[in-house]
Amino acid sequence: MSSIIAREHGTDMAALRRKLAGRSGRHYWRSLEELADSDDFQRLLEEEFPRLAPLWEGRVSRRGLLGLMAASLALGGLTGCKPQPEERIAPYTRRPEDLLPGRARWYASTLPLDGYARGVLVKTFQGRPVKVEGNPEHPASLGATDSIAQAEILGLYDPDRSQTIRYQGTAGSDAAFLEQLQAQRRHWAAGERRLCLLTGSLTSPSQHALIERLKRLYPSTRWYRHEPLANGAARQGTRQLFGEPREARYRLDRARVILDLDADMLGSGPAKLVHARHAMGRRRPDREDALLNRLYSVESTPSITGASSDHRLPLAAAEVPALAAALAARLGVPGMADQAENSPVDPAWLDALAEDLRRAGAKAVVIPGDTQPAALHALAHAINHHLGAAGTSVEYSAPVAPAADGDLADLSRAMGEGRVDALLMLNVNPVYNAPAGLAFEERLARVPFSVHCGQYRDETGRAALWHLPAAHPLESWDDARAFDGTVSLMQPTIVPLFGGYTAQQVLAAFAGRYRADPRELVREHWRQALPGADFERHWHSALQQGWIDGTALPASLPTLRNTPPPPPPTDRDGLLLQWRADPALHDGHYANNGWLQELPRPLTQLTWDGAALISPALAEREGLSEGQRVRLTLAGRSLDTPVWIQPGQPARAITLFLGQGRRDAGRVGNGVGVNAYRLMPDHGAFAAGGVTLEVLGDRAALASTQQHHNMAGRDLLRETDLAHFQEEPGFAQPDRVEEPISLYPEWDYPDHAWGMSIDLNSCIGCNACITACQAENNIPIVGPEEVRRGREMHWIRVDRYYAGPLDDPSMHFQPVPCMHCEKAPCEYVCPVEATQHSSEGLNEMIYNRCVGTRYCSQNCPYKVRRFNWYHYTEATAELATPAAAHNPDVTVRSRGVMEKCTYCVQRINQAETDARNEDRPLEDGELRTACQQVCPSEAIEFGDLNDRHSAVSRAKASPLNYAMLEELNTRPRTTYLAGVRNPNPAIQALEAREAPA
Amino acid sequence: MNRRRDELAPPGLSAGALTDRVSATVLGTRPPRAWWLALGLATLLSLLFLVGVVYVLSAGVGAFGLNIPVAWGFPIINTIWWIGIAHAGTLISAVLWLTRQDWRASISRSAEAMAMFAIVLAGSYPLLHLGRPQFAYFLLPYPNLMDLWPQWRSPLVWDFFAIASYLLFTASFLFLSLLPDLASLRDRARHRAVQLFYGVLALGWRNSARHWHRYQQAHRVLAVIAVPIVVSVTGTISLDLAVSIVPGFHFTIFPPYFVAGALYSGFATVAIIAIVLRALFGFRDLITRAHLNRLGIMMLCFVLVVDYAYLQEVFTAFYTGEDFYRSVYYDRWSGPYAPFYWGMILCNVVLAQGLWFRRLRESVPGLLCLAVIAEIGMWLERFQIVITSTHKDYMPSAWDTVTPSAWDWLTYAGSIGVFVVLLLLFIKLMPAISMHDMREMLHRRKQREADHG
Repeated sequence: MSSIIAREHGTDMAALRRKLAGRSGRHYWRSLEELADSDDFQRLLEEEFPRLAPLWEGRVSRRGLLGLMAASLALGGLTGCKPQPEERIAPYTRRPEDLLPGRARWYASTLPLDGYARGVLVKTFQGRPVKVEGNPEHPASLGATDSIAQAEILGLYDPDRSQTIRYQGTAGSDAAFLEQLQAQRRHWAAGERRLCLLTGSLTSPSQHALIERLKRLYPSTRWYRHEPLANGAARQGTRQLFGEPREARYRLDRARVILDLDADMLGSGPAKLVHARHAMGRRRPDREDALLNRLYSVESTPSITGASSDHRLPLAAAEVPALAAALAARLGVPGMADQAENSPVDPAWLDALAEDLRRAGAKAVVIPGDTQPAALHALAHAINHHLGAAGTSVEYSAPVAPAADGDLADLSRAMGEGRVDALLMLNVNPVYNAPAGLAFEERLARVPFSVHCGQYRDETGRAALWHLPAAHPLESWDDARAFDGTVSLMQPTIVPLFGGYTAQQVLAAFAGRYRADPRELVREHWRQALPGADFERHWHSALQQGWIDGTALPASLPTLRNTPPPPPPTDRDGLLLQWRADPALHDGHYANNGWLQELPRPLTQLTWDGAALISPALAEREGLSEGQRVRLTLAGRSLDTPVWIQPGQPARAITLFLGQGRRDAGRVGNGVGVNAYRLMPDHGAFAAGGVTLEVLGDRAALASTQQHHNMAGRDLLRETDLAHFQEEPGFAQPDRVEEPISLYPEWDYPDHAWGMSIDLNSCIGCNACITACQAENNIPIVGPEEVRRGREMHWIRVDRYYAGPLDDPSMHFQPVPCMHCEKAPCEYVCPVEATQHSSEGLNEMIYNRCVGTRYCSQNCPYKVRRFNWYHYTEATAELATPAAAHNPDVTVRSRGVMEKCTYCVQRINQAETDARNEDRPLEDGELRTACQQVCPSEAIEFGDLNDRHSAVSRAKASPLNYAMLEELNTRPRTTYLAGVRNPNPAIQALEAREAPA
Repeated sequence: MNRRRDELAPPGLSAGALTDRVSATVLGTRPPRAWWLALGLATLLSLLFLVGVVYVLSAGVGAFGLNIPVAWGFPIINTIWWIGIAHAGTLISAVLWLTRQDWRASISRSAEAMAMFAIVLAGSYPLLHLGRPQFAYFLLPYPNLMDLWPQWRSPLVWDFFAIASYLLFTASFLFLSLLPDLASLRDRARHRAVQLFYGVLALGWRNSARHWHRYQQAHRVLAVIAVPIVVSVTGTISLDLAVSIVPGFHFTIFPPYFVAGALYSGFATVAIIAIVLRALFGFRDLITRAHLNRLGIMMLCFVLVVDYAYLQEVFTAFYTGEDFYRSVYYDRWSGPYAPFYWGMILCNVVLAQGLWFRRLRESVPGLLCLAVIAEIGMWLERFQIVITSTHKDYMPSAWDTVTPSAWDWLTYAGSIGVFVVLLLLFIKLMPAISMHDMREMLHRRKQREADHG
């Protein structure tokens, strides 16, 4: 390596001699370069693998790098290419019980998001996790997951994850770190210096216990909490109302009328999966156990909740409290009487809503959004209390996450005042996501001893003195509470790939326990915390099911101490900037995850680079078109971003998505989009007025997966309202043909005939099915350039259509996988019979046989086929999925072949084999496709059509059942249940009156 | 006066003189400067083609501007375009021979050569189009242990056989008709090597009556086979589209419409080649204005059929009462690819009407312009059929557009270069005008004059 530098820069011998002469005592030097102490040498030291540096800087693929690492490992093994030592080794003849090569094993574990637990089952092959499913018995999952949980597999194997301890940017060792830590601890214990902790929202009892321990050991310790996506308004609002902070849990299985006040209850929050199941899972008027609730959404940014609602009202975020106050006045909430006339919307609309809520009484619920101020939370809960809903459709418990000593703003202030001598930042990235006004990065540089522990050497990891790699949740022993307080356990399904540390290990080290076993740290906590003699048995069963029984926080009915405060005054004109979490990247932590980057965001269908959402009215006023770049200026700071015209966006509201614009996310996420945190106000509000918009000349190429937003008058998606359905139950089958004819002979299905039914009543458009399918079926990532060309590879897409006026359209979702047509147009045109009809009705792709004429795709009316235009899965491809993340049961496709949804044929075959081995018939529900399994609202049914009693057969017998494009006589096996919405007739009448005007 | 204008060869041209003149273009020392210039330019273009092919084969078909829903693009357009061009060659050499059209004699050779090279290019595009061209042989019904056969219901298999049989047929027809001329060249060559070259190719042709008898028999058989082939090959290609259920592809009128279109562009190509030959080798008296006139008339015939098909297609689309078909037309007229549609209408419907005028047909620049317009128009027609049909078909959510990439244009322009190189080499190595066909024609003319005394 010295030769590299010498060659490039030469060495000034005379200068070296001078330098040596100026030294006294014994001084060791390793090379002339060290002596010269040149910048180059310093840089060389900084790089762990200097020869790899050009590769790191270049756009080397992740697979490529993994390959390089594997090769170096293999070369390392070559040193063993000499006579083997004479040792006894044991052949693998007596395998551990139930461990069969090629058979998956499942482990219950937990994935945290914003600190809240989601129970999952992790599928592993020979100790390699490959897929995440929801834990059906876990209260926060009910068997479903979101896209982010699905994508954790890819995150686990991400080669960009941090792999070493770093000190001031160079490779460090844990010994050196512990040495420094030891010295620091003495100062903390003596009270000479102050240790501060910064964590995310933290619900883990064991971590919390360790923090408490730290505080006991070093009494000056302060614990700060930074939640980039929530500002504590919920806690504050409930404290205002009830005198103490309470956490609301919505029991939507009991609610008949639900009002969502900018909460996006189906798309965000720790209970979104449960909300989706309870609110949307039984919205089928043809079912006996139907739950025909009525959903109202008032939202400042179109979301999947608004799209799924019966009534959706676009309203700028700042005006939502005023609406809630006017509503409270109508309902007679004490202290609100003077707010009745202050409605920012049509009073008649509000009257109808109030009437509906009043009628529902205890079965109504109002849900305030976390991005809204405390005043709205107080108002919403006052309404709930007044309606009698508290205790039935909403329950209150103590906050799940214990209170910390302050938030990021407090910490930043303390840092600015020089009151922070040591700072441990645990799984947070404030340098990236702190509002610019806090000047966090500059202040961090002044903290003498700063330690960052995170999965990535991210912006904060680079700015901190020490960086410790954190273990991935799938590698960790940990615990966390679910939204209802249930303690969920995390058990590792693989040893830390890159030697990361768990949060408990780091906290224990700070408390003086070095190199502790992460498992013991969690177990020790629970050995003390769990009463009863038989800890081992208790612990074992808790691990097995994934959570500890009886740990849900008890619900209690809080007493109303105060009347809600009046809503903060708002100006009703001027542009308003709003911030929302990116639906896929969340707070930005997942920016380096290609599955999530390429996930079409609900409604916009944008992948990769995001854009600021503007209303059609604003676009018209400013003459903006999609992709045009604008400069948004707020309080002296500005941000250049492309815009996206979002129908249904409140006229004067501009929404920026948080989570993009990462500087040091990794090779996938760096520089994608812009960092909207920069513009956020210091105090953490998610909306701000006084923003100016300046149109820039240039445009950005955005990668949307859907170019056309209306249905062109075609009845692909059928929907009506309840009244019409009751009048005409067969509305979805206007020209149903009982015995369709065909020139081709009918197929014979002696065993099974698989089919799918997708319920448009339940589908909330969350896109979890897309990521689940991607994870299950080894679907490659193609990158923004290819998406722009229309070459995304997802096997299932969720079409989104708008209907009605541009400013306030209704929004509809329709998941479209392969239809597996009975008379498939793709089958007869393939010249090599690479796509065929199976004996169980599947339309199968034979990749080996495919020559890539693409005729099948041309002839597919549903356009569900995907083609490998390039070798997306090649090891050197730019965004290749690491081989370890692949599902071993599914072929990895190469260049030039067509692919499409297989109905998860590998799962079908596995289930059939199991049933055959056990000599029993395959039971309905035993076999589920990946999209079906992940769906939070159970919108997808899959099963055997030969079985008249199977769930899918019953669904297809419904009068709501219809096939898309059935006039083509393709006879799809995937059919839809037409949507039936449940609007308020009073509001419908209102809208009908307004429509002509 | 009229008779003079209709003259197909200079009066009093003897068989010997004709053979001297034509064989001199092959055996003579130096080809004209223009030939070298054209060859140089065309070689450059064909090198670009080579670059394009190598790139596409190594990187993948993603290099083309294609996506889902528009998974077919330039390779398919160009296949149809080239195969269409090939068709006129067969029609001239076979159908016009069977109907004893004297005017075919001087242009039949170049038309056959044109057919040959066009079909080679038409056949190479499907390979470029394939995602995995290394497995193109899967389309062959070759014996294998897995008992796998191609799928006979797929028009692409029919297509494969159509193109393959057409290639075989064209090659044998071209070679057969060359035999007597190759023997003439062998006999006139001075150099031993040249004698050997043509001698081997002439397969021992000795100009005996028996040889002529067999030649006539073989020629007649091939010509009779050719008649259905002219119709069936392009007809089959059109089925690639028509058999699908894609609105914009699925029209029963496609086979005759495609045949007419093919012949229109083919005759245009023959006209261009004839005009170039006249200029290059001074064949103005052998390929006369009368020839150009007749080529123009043929173009007019077929373009009128094409225009009728356009009308019929629109009628069908609207008569179905189906929104899918109608919206394809609305989109063709006003969508993102409307310039291609209206460009096609301008070329094939508006400007093509110039063919009605004899003055234009007989004028060299006039016919050249009309022929080039025909080529462009027919290419645009294939573009709008292939691209606009699936870009907006059944599912609005899947609608998308494609932009042709540099590789699309490179392989297209390059293929024209390859075609020109092959043709230039051919007219230098082989007699560009069929000497024996001309002699036969002169002989018949002399007989006719003797009869009418």
